[in-house]
Amino acid sequence: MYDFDRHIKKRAGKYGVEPREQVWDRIEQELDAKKTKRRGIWLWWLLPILLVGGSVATYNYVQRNNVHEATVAYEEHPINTTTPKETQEKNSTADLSSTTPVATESLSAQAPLQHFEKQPINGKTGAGENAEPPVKKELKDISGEKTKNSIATTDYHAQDGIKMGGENLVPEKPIVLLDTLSGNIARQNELTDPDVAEKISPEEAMANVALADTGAHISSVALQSDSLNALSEKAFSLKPINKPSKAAWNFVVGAGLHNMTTSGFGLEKSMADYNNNIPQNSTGGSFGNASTQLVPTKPGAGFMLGIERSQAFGQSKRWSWMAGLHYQYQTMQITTGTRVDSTIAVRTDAGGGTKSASYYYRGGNSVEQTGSQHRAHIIAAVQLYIGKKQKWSWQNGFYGGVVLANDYLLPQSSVTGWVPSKELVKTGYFGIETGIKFQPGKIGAGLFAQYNLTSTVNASSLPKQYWRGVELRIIYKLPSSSYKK
Amino acid sequence: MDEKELIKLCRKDDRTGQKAMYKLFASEMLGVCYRYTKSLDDAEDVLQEGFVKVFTQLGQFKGDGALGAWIRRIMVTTAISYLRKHNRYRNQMDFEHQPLHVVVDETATDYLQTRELMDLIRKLPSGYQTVFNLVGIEGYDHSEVAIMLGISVQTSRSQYSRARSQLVNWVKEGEEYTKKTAVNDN
Repeated sequence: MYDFDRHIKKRAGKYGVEPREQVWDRIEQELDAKKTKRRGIWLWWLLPILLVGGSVATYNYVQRNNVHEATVAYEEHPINTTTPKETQEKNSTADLSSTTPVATESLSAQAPLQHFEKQPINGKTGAGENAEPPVKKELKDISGEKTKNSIATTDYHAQDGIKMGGENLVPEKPIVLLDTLSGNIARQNELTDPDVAEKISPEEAMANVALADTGAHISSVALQSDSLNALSEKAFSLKPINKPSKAAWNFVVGAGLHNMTTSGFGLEKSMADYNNNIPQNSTGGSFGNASTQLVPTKPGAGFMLGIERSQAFGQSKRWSWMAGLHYQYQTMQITTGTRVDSTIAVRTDAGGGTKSASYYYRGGNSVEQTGSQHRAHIIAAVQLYIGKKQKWSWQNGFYGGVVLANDYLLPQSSVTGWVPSKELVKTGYFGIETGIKFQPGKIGAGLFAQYNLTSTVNASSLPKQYWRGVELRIIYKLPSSSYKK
Repeated sequence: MDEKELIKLCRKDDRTGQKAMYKLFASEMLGVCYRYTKSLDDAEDVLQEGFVKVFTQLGQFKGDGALGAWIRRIMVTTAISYLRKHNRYRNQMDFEHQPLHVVVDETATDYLQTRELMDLIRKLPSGYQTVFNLVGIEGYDHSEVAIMLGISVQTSRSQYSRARSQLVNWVKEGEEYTKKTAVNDN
């Protein structure tokens, strides 16, 4: 009996077909493109590393500066009673005050601390029980602006008719803040001794402020008199102004421009060619193989909607995370086709002489078409607040999602093949996003850039293409009641 | 240049080495690709994609088998994914609903030329063509084919059986036609 299977196997094993020349050229092109791509991939890994590294460096820098710039606020604390001994001590303070004058300039130059008014110590010096009610004045910073957490303090000089310089209330003598929490009690005692205090220059006293300042909660002791020792640490507890950002749900809408590209950041970069023949012409001229080109997609409009949740990392005042769900509708324009401009030389021998003429030939075809796609993704990002007021933030994150629907044409590997993108577009995608956000209140805005790390098209012969875009977003902080339920 | 040297060069991304390897295997591999597709253009696309994979994944070749066999396996898997990707093939890859009624007759003789035989294989619907190529020519068993194509072992068996019967039938028809033509010519 005839062994059909063995016969087929034998024949098929021997079967070979010589490929056309341009197959190798195409392979070579694709290998080159992959090599460039591999270099690009390293850059894309480098980018998030740089972003994270830069953020950490900025954070450290800002934190270090904050130690010196720690703005402090007083807590109001009424002290209503004094003893005759305390009154006596206050008198000694007045003496001390006169022996250690401090220039305003020197204080300002020392450190960017706020100027403090003397603490209320039951009426003016030596006034005892007959003292007039104290005049309240607001605490102001060096620039003369009322500080956010300023509270009313008492100005006894005002009652004495002592002229104060400008709107700024400046101490007549240094107020030394000591970090009693750090156990600098010995130094405190030394400084509170009037004999020792007399020998301490204002500069040295201020240096102690810097020593004592830990950037966290610090207690203060005003060393203007021994009676100030009676003030408890609680009464002068100092707090940093910045607090961790509040957790919130945000509703986001945005619009922007998007397109596809083969690589790089530029908005108009050429896509790789892929070769196809255009019909040969026997009449001569500069004909040959033309490249079918995917002309860069022109940026198309895109819109987005999203819901996000943002929350501080623990008690961090600088860092917070954000996670959310975004929906995007993107439109685009794609020009595809084979196109070549060639010259045809035509010779005619009619009429007794040779005449020649050149004609320009535009071969192939090109198609410009518009399309759109819907996609949805989950996004997770880290936000770094820039500045103390937590209005500006820098957001870096990753997103991943699915293309819900799409409607545009893409070329097949052969010249005539145009297929709907749904045949070729990958469903899943993943990318990175970075942006700057400004949110002074409930409503904020941000400018964001996105780049897909996964390619868009699944076709074997097409160069890899990646979505990218820029978006301007409006962010609305939802009222807390809307999510507490 | 022997195979080992070629592999070394290709692993270093040396274009001359890559071209030499391509020249060595291109014709045989295009034959493989052509058996899975319906046109030479498509076969060349598969060949191109396959060789790009070969050059980028050559680091994974351990050298425990013949290089040709390894490249062939890549071409086969590339061809299968190409068929899945492209609409004109995908419709014919519906294994459950492709009717193929054939008359089984295994008296065909070794008469047809290789080229004609390959043309007959290409005449089969893509699903049958793929299963027949994998089982009948590459030598995969049905369980392997089932995994590769995402079908059941039973489907693979029946597809192969029907494809084979159809081919036998076509070969026989061809032989009879050739014989008749020869008689008439005489």
